[in-house]
Amino acid sequence: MGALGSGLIALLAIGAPIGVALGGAAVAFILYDPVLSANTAFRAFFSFVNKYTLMAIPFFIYAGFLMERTGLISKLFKFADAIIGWLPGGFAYATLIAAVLFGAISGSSTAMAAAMGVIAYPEMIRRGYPVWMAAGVIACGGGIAILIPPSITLILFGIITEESIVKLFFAGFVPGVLLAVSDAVIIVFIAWRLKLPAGEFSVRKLWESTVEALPAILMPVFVLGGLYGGVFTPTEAGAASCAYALIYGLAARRGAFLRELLPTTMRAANLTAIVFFLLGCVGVFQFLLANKGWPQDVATWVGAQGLSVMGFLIVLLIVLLILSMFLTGVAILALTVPIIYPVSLTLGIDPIHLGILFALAVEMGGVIPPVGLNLFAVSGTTGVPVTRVMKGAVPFLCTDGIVLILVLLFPILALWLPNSMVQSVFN
Amino acid sequence: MTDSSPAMPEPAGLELAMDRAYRALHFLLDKVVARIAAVILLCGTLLACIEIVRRYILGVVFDWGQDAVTYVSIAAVFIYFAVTQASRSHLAVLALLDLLRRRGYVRTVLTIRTFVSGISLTLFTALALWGVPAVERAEKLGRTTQSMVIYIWPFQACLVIAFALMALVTFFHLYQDVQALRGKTVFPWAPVEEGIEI
Repeated sequence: MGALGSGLIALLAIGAPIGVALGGAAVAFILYDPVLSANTAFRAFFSFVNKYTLMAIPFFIYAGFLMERTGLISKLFKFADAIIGWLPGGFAYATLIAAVLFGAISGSSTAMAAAMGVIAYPEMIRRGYPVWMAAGVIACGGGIAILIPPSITLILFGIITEESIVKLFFAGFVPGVLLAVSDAVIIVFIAWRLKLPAGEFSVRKLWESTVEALPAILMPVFVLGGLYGGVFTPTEAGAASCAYALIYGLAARRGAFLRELLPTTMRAANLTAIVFFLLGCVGVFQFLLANKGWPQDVATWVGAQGLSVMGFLIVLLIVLLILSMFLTGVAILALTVPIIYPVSLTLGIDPIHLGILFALAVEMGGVIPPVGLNLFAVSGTTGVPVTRVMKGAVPFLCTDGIVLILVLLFPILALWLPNSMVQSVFN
Repeated sequence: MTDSSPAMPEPAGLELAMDRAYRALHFLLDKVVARIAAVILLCGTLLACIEIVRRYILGVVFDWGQDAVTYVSIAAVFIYFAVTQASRSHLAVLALLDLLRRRGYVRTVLTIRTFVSGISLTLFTALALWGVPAVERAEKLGRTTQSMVIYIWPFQACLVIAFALMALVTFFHLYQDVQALRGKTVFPWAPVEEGIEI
């Protein structure tokens, strides 16, 4: 086990693709092991990715890209601005609301941070917001997508652990809203301190923007309503999202949308290929772990250290926060969940609570200086130096930390909704 | 506007042959394989949508519906693996390499990249070779998916082809990295987008 772990870490450190590091280390061990046959690696790869549940990932990714092509994202901003833009610092709240709504369509944190960087940043600067604040709001607002269904992070956690994705989606809702509210509190404070400008409230503007954005607002209502109502499975919800985006795109933009369909599908296929290659290699690695019973050994070792459940979770979160400064959420899940999940089960930790803690840590890590990925995504799309994005992200990072501690100390925040809703629908 | 960068010497001999071969492979991947994969993914998505309509509106389902959606979609994704590999966009931790590059250890970085390409080539080749007996066995035994209707071997064959194409692409990456170690730049036209984020 030590040799496998060392080999894996060495390969990761020298910049091998994470899938190659996981697959390569596992294959080297399989070849060395006299009991395991070489072609089990191929079979383990194939069996891990041919699950119907897993198809939720390409479908939600595809739906996000399709919605982007329909032009509805900027309409979501207009709608959010019309609702709340009249308050001091209102466009910053509007950005947060748009982040939550777009998160309910896309599910990808960095994609959302990048998309908002293009749309929201110039408008905030035009309205006189300080550069650091505008960039910070966008960098942190993007992270909310990880908690708001359909979160790709939560889908992956559910697939690797075989936990209910619907339960995870329900569990992410309250922490996601808490994140949005805590970020709003920071905006209130900054707006008050800096005397930020307020827009004008107009009923006509609100009505027009609502009508324009209605198709985008209805999409999460239709899809997530079906999911929460127990009508759709996550995969069907993903397919329904695609159908919705396709129909709307064809109706609204006709020929232009059709011309962009193939390139958009190729972009979705590219991102899905990255995720699936990694997942297949996780399958090979997980097969080896399960075959050798190593997670149980790790659990025994952790037990022997005399760590309480809370102590274990705190150590885990610190490790996740450090990892999430360097790696994307998908990569962190691929590397850590196969080992951590069985250990957590042995310690009696609720797997749904664990999934939400993972998601929160990944969300925070995306904006932790000096290497948080969302910081660079926003810096890249806005042209703001990373140091200034960091300055803007710090206040939001503090409140995100408070939300993480609250969910750690009070698992009910994550578990109340799935326990009260999912059981009544499915049991 | 004039180009101030030094002119690249024209490739000749083996270098020219490799350049032409990689251009042909890139063309095949970008213009044929990627488009086929995209069309198949679109078909998988439409099939999933049709299944929803059949299940929830018409109240009837095919036994093989879910299997068809799953396997059509993963076939598309498998086929796309090599396209992603060609642009070196599979997720990697590049912090150490970036640090070394910033400190000026360019040769160390190039050596590490060459080593990584070698490991990747070995892995993809091994998986492609090990996949062949698995496909043959599935075909011989007539193994099917859960619905017992769809044969599984064509999809396993897609994965074998995907690994073979990835190995082929990585062979060119290895050549590119070895040449870089020797101080030569080859395939300057090939796009590399390391560190794509999700």
